[in-house]
Amino acid sequence: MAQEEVPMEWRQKFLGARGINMFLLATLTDATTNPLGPDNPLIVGLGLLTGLPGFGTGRFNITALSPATGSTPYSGNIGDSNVGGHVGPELKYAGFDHLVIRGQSSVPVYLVVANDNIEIRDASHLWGKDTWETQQIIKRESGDERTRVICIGPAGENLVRMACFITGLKDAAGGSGLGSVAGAKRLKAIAVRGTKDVSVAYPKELVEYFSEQTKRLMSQKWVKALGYLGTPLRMTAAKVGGWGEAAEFGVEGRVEEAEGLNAEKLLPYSLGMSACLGCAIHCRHRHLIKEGRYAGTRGEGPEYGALVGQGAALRNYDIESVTYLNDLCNRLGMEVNAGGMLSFAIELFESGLIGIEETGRPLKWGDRDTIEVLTQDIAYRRGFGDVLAEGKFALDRLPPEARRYLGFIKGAATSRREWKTVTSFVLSQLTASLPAHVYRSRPGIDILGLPAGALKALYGRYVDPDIKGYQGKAFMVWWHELLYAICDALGCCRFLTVFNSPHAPQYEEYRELLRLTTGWDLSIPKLQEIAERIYTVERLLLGRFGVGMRKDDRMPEIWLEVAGSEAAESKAKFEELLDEYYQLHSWDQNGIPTPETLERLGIVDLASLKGT
Amino acid sequence: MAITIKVFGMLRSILGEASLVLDPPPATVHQLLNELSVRYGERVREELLDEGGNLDYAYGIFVAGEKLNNLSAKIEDGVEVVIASIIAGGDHSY
Repeated sequence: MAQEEVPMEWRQKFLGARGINMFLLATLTDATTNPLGPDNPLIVGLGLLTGLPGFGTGRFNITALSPATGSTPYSGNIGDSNVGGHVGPELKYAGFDHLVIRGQSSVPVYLVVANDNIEIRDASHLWGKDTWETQQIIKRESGDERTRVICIGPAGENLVRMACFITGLKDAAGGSGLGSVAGAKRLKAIAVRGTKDVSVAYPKELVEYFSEQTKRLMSQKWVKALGYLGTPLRMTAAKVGGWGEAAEFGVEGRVEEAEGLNAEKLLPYSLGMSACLGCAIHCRHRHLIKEGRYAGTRGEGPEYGALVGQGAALRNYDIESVTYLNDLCNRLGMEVNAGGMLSFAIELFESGLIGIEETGRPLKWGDRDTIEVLTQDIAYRRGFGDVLAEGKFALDRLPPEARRYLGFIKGAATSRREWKTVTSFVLSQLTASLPAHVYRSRPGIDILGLPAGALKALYGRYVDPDIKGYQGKAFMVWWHELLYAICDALGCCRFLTVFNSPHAPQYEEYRELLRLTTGWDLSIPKLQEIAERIYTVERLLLGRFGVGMRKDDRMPEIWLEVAGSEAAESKAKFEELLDEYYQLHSWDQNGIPTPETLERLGIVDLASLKGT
Repeated sequence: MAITIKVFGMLRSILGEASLVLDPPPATVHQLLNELSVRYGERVREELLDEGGNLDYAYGIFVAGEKLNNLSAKIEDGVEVVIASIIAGGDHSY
């Protein structure tokens, strides 16, 4: 085990978290690295400001090659998760900013991180335990209730390609199946307790600035709404505004039935809202179901993602069932998006492509019993669950026609019904530096109906206020990409930047926070240059895996077939959007970063990564 | 013909109701706000308007899937109006 200072050059070029993680991923892997092999580095990276007063600065990134998106089961693509809670700050207080975990243990182990010290300990007694039990046992054994833990559950141990890390009751590092990367290393958990001070440049002013900004944020209506009802609020907004993914509401868009999953339906079960460290919003429920089939279900969430992934996408409109499934996934250490594989399987069953001889039981929409059993079967790789646990590689074990029931972007599987009505949302998903990610770069405020004048004031140019319009949307996506890259690299929360409101913190506030914390006075163009560098490294990495070009930024053909003429007519317009988008990034017209851009950004040494 | 208002988000906790009927129906969003304020107090106007007196971006007022973006927008007879808090995330993906 080796410890070293994070080089100042890395800080200046990439800040932290996602920025430094991606640079490390680029330099420590190559095109042959097996995501589930010993050479795939598991990189835990704190934001530059994680753990300090800021804008939801409890967040950090876990990065590795993802086992869910490669061209074969033994290859990978960019995997990256952003997660909140309290364990990131604790790691900062223990004196560490990044952990680069390489190799593979022959027996289950866990890391114990204390001030400036890391031990590897035997985790045989934890292997097989769910994520909640694991955290409880480790805390008890540590003798210190303030110990924070992030761990994997049975899904990660069983190398399920939709496995995630969990810390606390529901903070998940998910979306890229990285829980299985830890499982392959037999790394069960990372336990942290830190009591060191962190020096900042202007402590008194920082605390005053933080207090003043927190008060300002807490007075805003969107903060109050999110802080009272959480992300489930999106269910109603998406439904009535017509900007939800068709997949959310089942096959024929059963929007009325989705009423059962509105945010208000959660209130009777809510014990209150909880927060990541220092956050002004407190956006998630603590819940308790007192009676009925799911009596005793107690946890945090469900988020909108669970309401869809374990709810609407399966035509399961029972809020109590979805809440139970949310907790089940969290305990198993499995992404709630695993429901997408269940949705896919039900479609195949209904179409007659697979039958009971493959699945072991009938698969029906809204069948809670089957959903609950199959969710566990996936985590434990039992029966048909073993097929679904392979994510997109389940196609290797299904009839060839099954491929037509999924869409693919840069190797990542999506629903075949992902067509949305919001142009900027579609473009951001197609071009996202994390394959097919729906909100890596999402310009959330596009749905607020801001008038042209307000958009011009924010972006400095005309952007069409119509969500279906095209003018200015490439710029909008680019602008948000860069802002979010800085947000992530600092360890701030996406919800506390220009995502749900044009009035949320952004570059000016980030500048001030950086000045008060580090003493640096970075201009906005300098911050945008750092963001461009982070995003371009990610683009180069995609290129290494053969998915970093224009052909990879296009809509899956199956989307166009399923969505019909509206989507088909937009094909040409999206090519024009890509033209503009590439110009903004100073990439060539095939979407490849140019030598001049690499020179300007000081990453010429990474030029060999790019695709041809 | 009366209109039905369905209310979601923070406004529901302010009104204390999930849905209501207005008869005679208001003809514009401005009239709708006036009517709701008469019934439920000025808190409604404070909640739905920003400091400049325009519709606050934190809310959407929808009729048949279309968002009404200003106070002078017309409301047809007999429609269902939905007032909901708007947020853009979380999300779902495969």
